[in-house]
Formats: sequence, C-alpha cells, structure tokens
Amino acid sequence: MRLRPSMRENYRYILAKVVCTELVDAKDIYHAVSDTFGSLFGEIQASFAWVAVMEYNPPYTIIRFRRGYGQKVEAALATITSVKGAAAAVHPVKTSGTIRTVREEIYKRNFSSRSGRVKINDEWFSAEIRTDNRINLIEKGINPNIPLYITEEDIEDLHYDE
Amino acid sequence: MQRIDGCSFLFQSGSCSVGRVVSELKEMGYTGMVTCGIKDEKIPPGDFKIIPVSYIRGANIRAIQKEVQDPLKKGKYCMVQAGENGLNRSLLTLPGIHTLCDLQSAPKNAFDRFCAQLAADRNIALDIRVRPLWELRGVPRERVIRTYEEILLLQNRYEFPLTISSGAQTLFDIRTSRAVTTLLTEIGMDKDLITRSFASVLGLLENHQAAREISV
Repeated sequence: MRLRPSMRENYRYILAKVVCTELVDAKDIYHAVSDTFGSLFGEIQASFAWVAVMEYNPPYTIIRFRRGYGQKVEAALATITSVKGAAAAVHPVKTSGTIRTVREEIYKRNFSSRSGRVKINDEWFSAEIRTDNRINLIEKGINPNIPLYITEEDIEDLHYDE
Repeated sequence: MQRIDGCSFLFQSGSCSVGRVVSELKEMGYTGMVTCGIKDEKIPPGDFKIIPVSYIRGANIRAIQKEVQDPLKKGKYCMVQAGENGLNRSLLTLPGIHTLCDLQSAPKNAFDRFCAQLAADRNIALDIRVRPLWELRGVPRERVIRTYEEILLLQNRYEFPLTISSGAQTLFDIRTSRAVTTLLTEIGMDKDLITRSFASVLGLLENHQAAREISV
C-alpha cells in the first residue's frame, strides 16, 4: 500500500558497535536483533518497530527503526549475546534522525587492526593488534595463564606479520 | 556524575587484564569499577576508580562470618552472596558487609520486608546484576525480572541502597552504561534511582568506615 509522504511514519537511525569473535554480515546482525527483540518484547512489538539493518562496516552498524521505539531497540541490542552462533555484544553509540549524521560519527571513530605476534612472560602469541592500544590474543592453543584481552602495557614485545 | 560498575571479574576468574577492562569500561561511560581478583598494589594509577572487593559465596553463616571478620580484609569492600531467607536475615545483621548480591539466584521469598527493613537500617545495599537480563531467555529471564520487580517494590517502601553490576567475565559481558540504563528502565526502574545506584558504592564505603579518633 502506498501512502502520501505526509502520512508516512518517520524513521530514526541508531549507530551501534558490534564486538564479535567471528566475521559476520548485516543479515546475521538483523537476525540477532530481530530474535532478541522478539524474545524481550514479543512479536507484536517487534512487528511495530520496523527494525532494519541499513549497513555494516565492521565494527559499526547502522540500524533503522520507527520513531518512538528507540528505547526498546536499544534494550534489545543490549541483550544480544551471540551473532551467527559466535559470542558477540552490540553497543549502541548514537541515535539520530538522519543516516548522514550517523555516518559522520563512524568516520570520527574508525580504527584499524593488524595481525601480529606479541611476547608475554617470555612466550610468543598470535594476536590482533589494534591501533587504539588494545590487543586480542588469538585463542587457538593459548596458555591458560594468560588473559585473552589485554593492552600494550601488558606485553613485553611485539612484531607485526608481513 | 559517578558511574561505577558494581562487580566485574578480572583474569583469572575472567579473561581480561586490568588495563583492558579499564580501557573498555572508560569507553563505555563508566568512571569506576568494583572488581574481584586484584591486589591493592596492582591497581593502576589514574582517574578511573578501582575498588577491590572480597566476594564471599557459601551457604554457611559461620564460614561467612569468619571471612568477613578476617583482620586482613577489614575495611575492604565486601559482597556476600544471598541465600535462603534465614541466612539473609543473619547476613544483614553481620558487621562488615556492604552488599548482598546474587538475589536473582536465591530461593523464592529469600528477601522479604523484614530483610528490607534490616538493609535500610544498617545501610547495606542490594546488588542488581544485569548480566542475567541478557544471558537468560524465556521463563528464567521472566523470573529474574519478577525478582527485581519485587526488590524495587521493597526499595520504594524501605529505601535501602542499590548497586548495579555487570558481573562481567569477558569482553562480551560488558555493556555501555547507556544500554544498562535503558534496559533497567524497561524493566521498571526509575532513571533517578539508576543514577543513584551507579554511584552508591562510594557512599557505602564511606558510611561503613571504622570509627576514628580525632584529636581536638
């Protein structure tokens, strides 16, 4: 059914940061949001909220929803614990009425990461080294006496992979 | 405005180093945290407040009493896991306890109006753990929400303090203070109460300090 523009409902957009152990796409994020929204508020509320994932540029995603449902969408995002079966968390960052301001926020916040090796307690470990001073050790065969999520202050040395 | 995460678990109970948790929590809008598994000398300097806690679990009042009154732990922030109603009443009369936690996993009717009155009189806080709200699904989550609703009802009547904690063990258990506020608002907690609860840990520590001799 087509409506006149003045009769159409307004959308709002939420910028959220996705922290996930595996590579996921926008569809996986949509399924996770839709699943948690339905489980938390029921399917009737979920159908009224018109949630859609507009884009996903790791680690940020833009989610569109109907005006007036911001609080419910944020609560649903907070209850996401897995995306595509992998442990994940989605942190709402900013809500706006236009997609443009949300995109501008992404450019301000972007960081990159490189793979490499870090030395802790005289042992070398494979790791994802991020430009914001944070290091995620890669879990395969890891020493149980070392924490997985650390910062540059916790390590003794590092080498980037070629 | 202080926003303190009421309880998080560092390596080895969790999987994050101190520095990483501090960095993540700062980004998520917190100004401090209460944490298990950190020694006083390992607290990094800075504007981020780190409060070490002795987290006591167990259903035996004698063992808990022994732990609470350990001279090495005196003055330290102390959280005790709640149990059945009788145990909770005894815990609320013990000196040295700051917070009663894990009420969501305690048996039904574990915290009644008598406990609420005791908590209010002795300024002992109740911990609202937000992790079960996203970790559980279906009926178990409904039960947790109902327990919190009952606590909020008693809090409204007796006005005992509350604390809000994530109980985070990994990076994926941490949520932004904004998300926690939204989630708690959705289950019926007042925004003012949420703000007060985020900051209540410091007040609890000040009120429970031992008497000092002041020379005139």
